[in-house]
Amino acid sequence: MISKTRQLLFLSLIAVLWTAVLSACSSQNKTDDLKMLPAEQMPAEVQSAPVMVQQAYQFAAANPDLMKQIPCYCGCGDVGHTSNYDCYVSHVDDKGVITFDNHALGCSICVDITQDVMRMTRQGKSAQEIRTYIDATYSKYGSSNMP
Amino acid sequence: MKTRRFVIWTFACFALAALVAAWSFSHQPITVHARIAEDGGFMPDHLIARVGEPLRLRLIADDVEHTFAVGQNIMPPVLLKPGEPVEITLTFDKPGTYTFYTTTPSSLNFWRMRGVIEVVGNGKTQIAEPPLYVQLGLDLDEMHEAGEKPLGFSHPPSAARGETFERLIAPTYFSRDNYVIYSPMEMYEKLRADPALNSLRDDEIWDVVAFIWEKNTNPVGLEEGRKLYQTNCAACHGENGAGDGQFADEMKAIAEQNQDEHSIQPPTDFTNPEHLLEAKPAIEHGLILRGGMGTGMPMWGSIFTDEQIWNLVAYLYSFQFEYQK
Repeated sequence: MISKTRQLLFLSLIAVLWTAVLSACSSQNKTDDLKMLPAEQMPAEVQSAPVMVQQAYQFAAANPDLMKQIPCYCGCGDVGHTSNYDCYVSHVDDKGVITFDNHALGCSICVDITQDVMRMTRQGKSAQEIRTYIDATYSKYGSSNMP
Repeated sequence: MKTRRFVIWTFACFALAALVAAWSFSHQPITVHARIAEDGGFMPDHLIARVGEPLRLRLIADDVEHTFAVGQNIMPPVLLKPGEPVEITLTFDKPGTYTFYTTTPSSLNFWRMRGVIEVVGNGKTQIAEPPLYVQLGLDLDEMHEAGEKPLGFSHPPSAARGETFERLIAPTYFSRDNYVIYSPMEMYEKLRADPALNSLRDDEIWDVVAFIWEKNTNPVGLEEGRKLYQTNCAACHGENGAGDGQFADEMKAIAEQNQDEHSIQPPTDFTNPEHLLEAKPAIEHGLILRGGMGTGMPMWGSIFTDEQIWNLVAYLYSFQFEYQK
């Protein structure tokens, strides 16, 4: 005879196992859970760019507050960029109309950094945690464009 | 009572099935799809592994032929043909972030086909230092053109001819420290100003420069540099370094349309002496490590080892100098 407590423990264990299995087997769309500007609002050259570049532009344009806290290490500090955001957006007017920058279309580090930001945002990391990771990962390639 | 037992046994069977499924799932290779960058590149592009534990991957090319390689000398390129999955197993002995990439120029943006394997676990993680060009205070993005300066030779400088003057050359000229920080043009000017070399003509001084550059590499390193170049750089810069690779025209057209020097540019022509002879090896090293700022030249620092980058730099100068071996 199995006691009620044991039965409960047994059933709880099964529930935990099932949850673990289901979560392990589930697949997740990379951008479903991120705030992104619609692809249709991107310039033609961005829409024809590689998928990872399109996503980076969509994410950067939709998350200026976060992206302005993230440095870039591609060397663009010399051309006046003060964050990774500037690699994608050169200007936003009073009405919110965005002028995109072509720079990131040909930039390797810029997009890698943004993809890291997207992944860590999905993991629930704070802006400070993300910046710390970016500094640690990319400082061996160049200089930060943020003080 | 019977119903209760039935329920318990049913759940027990489910639990067992779940355990088997979980075990089986954890022992299945991870499938990585490869498509041209414009259609998604490598998917997934972020993998997790543990130090010392095998990472099994099943690689599938979905559209055209691709290759799959892992940087830092972990794995050479393996060919992926459409419809022919390839299984590989990787084991990492150090934690860190490793980049996988393609060497197949399947489209203009083939260099965007990259992903990372994040290796976690116990082990010493190297503390990164700023790159050499930052330590030296060099600006990678300033123009390195000789401009109107006369070069003083009409044929490629020859290391063999330069060697014949070896007895006249002070040993300090050959030092690694000097090689790294002086462009060939700067080295030429230093040698030209040296009274010990007054008897040499300008073209002979250039031969000495070629000899000094050759002494800072070796046949094995040059051969590795050649292979790296032909595999990873020739699609844009051309097999002979003339900036005329298969994507050069497309890049030139984009550059003409953009009119912005911080976005995509035509590939550098290494056969142009006015460019390469004015470039310090430390600058070329930095450009390969970091990539061109927005120019379409990717960063290779996550893929090549430092030694590989130096070998590639040495090979680039062979587009200007005749080496003996």
